[in-house]
Amino acid sequence: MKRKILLGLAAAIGFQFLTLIGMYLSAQMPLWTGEAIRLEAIPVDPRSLFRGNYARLEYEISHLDIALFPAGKRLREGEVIYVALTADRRGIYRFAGVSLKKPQQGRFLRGRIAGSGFRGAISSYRVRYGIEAYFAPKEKALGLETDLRKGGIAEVMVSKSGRARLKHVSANPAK
Amino acid sequence: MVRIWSGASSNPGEPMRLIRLLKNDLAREAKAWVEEGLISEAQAARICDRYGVDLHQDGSRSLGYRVLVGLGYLFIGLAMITLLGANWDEIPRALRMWGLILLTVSTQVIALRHCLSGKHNAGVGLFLLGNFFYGASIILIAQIYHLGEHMPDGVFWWALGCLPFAVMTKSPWLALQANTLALIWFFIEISLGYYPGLFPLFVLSSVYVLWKGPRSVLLLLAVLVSSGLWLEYSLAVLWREDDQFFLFDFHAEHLVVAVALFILLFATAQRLASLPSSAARDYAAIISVWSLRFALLLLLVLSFSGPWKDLLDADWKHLPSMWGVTALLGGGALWLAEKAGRTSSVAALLVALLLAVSAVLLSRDQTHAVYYQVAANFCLIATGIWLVVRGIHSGISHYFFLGVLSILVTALLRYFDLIGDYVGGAVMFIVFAALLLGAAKYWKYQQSRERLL
Repeated sequence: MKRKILLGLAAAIGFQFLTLIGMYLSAQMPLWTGEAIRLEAIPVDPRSLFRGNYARLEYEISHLDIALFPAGKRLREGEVIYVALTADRRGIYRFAGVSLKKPQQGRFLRGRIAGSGFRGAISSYRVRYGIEAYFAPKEKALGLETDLRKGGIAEVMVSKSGRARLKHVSANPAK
Repeated sequence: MVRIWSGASSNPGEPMRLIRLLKNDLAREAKAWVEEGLISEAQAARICDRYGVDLHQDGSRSLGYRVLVGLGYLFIGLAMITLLGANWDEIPRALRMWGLILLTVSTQVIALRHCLSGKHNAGVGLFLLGNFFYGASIILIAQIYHLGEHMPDGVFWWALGCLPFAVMTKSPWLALQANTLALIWFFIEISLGYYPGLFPLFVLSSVYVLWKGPRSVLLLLAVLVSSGLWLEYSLAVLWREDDQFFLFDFHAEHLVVAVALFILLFATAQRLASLPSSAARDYAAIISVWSLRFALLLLLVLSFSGPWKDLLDADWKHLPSMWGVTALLGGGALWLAEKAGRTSSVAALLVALLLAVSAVLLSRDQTHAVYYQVAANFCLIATGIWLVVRGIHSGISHYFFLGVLSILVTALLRYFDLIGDYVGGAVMFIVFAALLLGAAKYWKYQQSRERLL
């Protein structure tokens, strides 16, 4: 085998290894460096053929009214938005505002406009923050579905750039 | 009696293309001829070489072995991914993740060692398995960290990680793995409204493997499908209305580009058929058969009035870019056809496309749909007759049966869906019958002339 091909194959193995490490670090970073916030969550229970059982979560900030955005500007799918949050007296973080530019201060989440799949007039945008899937074994996922029927509390770690990682989901004691 | 060759040569000195199964038969026959003393082993080897066949069929035996091993690895990979779906909570997440990363890297290193010691096929098989473990690791990381933001990114990194192995080893199996993953990524991205800009990288890599590596019909088909989808979806993004883009967001212009694309494919097949390489001739036969099937399917769809009404009613808002792309594809087709010495047939197809599109654009009246429908039906019947005659004349059974099938399907469809009224339908059937009987008469006349000569 030619030396060049050998080096190329070795580099390809290195590339795969580094990609996996990069993914691990990028996933882990908000958990290491972020600050914890709590959000109210509503569970939905799907199953992915490839990824297994998970509870799909929705939040108060998952659907944002179109009137919150500058008039006449239709946002594109995948467009990045920033949602500012403030804590209520129970320590649950709630929607405080939305902008297309990164806020200079305060707590905020970075989200992306998700596709609605339909053209025409819409009243709200669906937004995803990367904290919508909570993976669990089948029994645990079914248990979560029962526990969270009346709503849950998601513990989320948020980095300074607004990227969020879901840490834990539990039942909402107030409901 | 119809011979069961899948293709025939137009030139006497040029070898006929054989289908894969008949290649094995030829090798077996050639061996028998050697044993009976009819020909020498060297002659048998030369005959087999002419058709790209291995006299001792070592290749086909090792191909069977490789396919079984490849499928075995595929199932090991699927088993791993399915197991991950069970979310083993009992095993600590760090152990799960590092265990899978270690498994990925060690499988790839073992594969590399096999390649180094000259066991190329075993190495490729293990790379295939290692790539599955790599994908499983990506899925596991997404699962452990509850990553649900943008799923296609994971599939993209999986496909990209497989790509260098395909290019370095020039293995069609590894290229097929990367290309299939890239296609999955392509469709997920498109369905979510994103444009997968790096997709051509995967297609070009597959083209490189096709060019430099061993022949693979599956990879050829993957390349053709991927290229067509990429072109059509790129135009869909360019022609989108609003800022948004959706799956299946197609316009009438896409159909014209698709037809031009198939004419280019047809010309490519003609060019490949004129090359001395048996692999090129194999590819040519595959491409021309699929181009022909597309043409018949298109004519079958256009034999109804509905599609013509839609075309006549369409907005046709993107004509300049449509004509631009069509001209580019047509120019390429003519260039290839000229190289292959088949300019007239490709030019005739392009002129037919130009005339049909111009007629629709000038008419734009839905009540004219029936005229176009009748014309399409006659084209379908004429194509069927041409295929039957060509099938018998050249001994290509596929053409013969495809021709008979298209004539019968047209007759059946028109019986259920009468054009105009019963009298109109009856007139059309009579004309069909006259065409068929006329073709048969002409055929008999040609045969008797050939006998006399």
